[in-house]
Amino acid sequence: MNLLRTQWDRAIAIACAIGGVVALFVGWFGTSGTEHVAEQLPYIASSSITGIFLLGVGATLWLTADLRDEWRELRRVGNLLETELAQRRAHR
Amino acid sequence: MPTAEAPVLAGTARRSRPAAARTPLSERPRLYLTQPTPWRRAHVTRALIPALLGAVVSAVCWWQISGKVTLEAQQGWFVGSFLGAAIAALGGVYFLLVNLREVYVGKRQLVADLAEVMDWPLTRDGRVRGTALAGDEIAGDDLVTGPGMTLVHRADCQVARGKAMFPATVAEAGYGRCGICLPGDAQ
Repeated sequence: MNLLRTQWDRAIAIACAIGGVVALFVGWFGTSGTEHVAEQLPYIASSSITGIFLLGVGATLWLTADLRDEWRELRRVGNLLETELAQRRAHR
Repeated sequence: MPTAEAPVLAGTARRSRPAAARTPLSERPRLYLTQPTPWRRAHVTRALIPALLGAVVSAVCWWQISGKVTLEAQQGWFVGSFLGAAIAALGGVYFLLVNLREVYVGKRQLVADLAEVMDWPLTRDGRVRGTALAGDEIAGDDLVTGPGMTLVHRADCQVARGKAMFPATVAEAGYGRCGICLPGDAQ
């Protein structure tokens, strides 16, 4: 649970990716069940696009999680630098 | 560097957005010190608007497609559903770009602050001066290293080429030696 709380964006990204794959599979299953294009289009417009959309959301969330890690590292180094500067000033 | 009255790092004081947009990078607030994430609530809102709009457009189009029985009647809505997906993708692209830009600005500011503390020479646009930016200042046999690096290289080493480097010696800070250019060995 703690991991989910700290890595919520990656958890949602994985859930979205799984959901996207499932939606794509449902879309494929639906389109393969009929020969009529007019019956296939609703599956393409719903399941396939939803699948691609969810995969896109997952990728975006995963990348922003990486950027958040970078941001955290910036903060850590920035705080170290501030401490160093404060110590130097105190020694003067 | 700032005085005792001022914040420790230059530009840590909050400023209004238009003023921050005009000021040089090194003078802008260090948002990575004050903000928990690279994105702000406004960025999320701006990203969600096209994402939700696109999702609604796609859903409406799907609803219309599933209610039609002929291909001719479905075609327009089918194209519309892809348009909705493209609008939704714009939200994600915007959000990613905003995050990338904030992290990039933060990195540049941190390097500038670090250079100030370490007395590294900076170029006019705030980058650490090195072989890639001022090759004539460091001779080929000089030893160099870069921010975050643990090894020392010859200035003309392939690993150092194209990167922001600064002079260093092996003994100076306990750096390791590059296994490619073997600094310190007679050539």
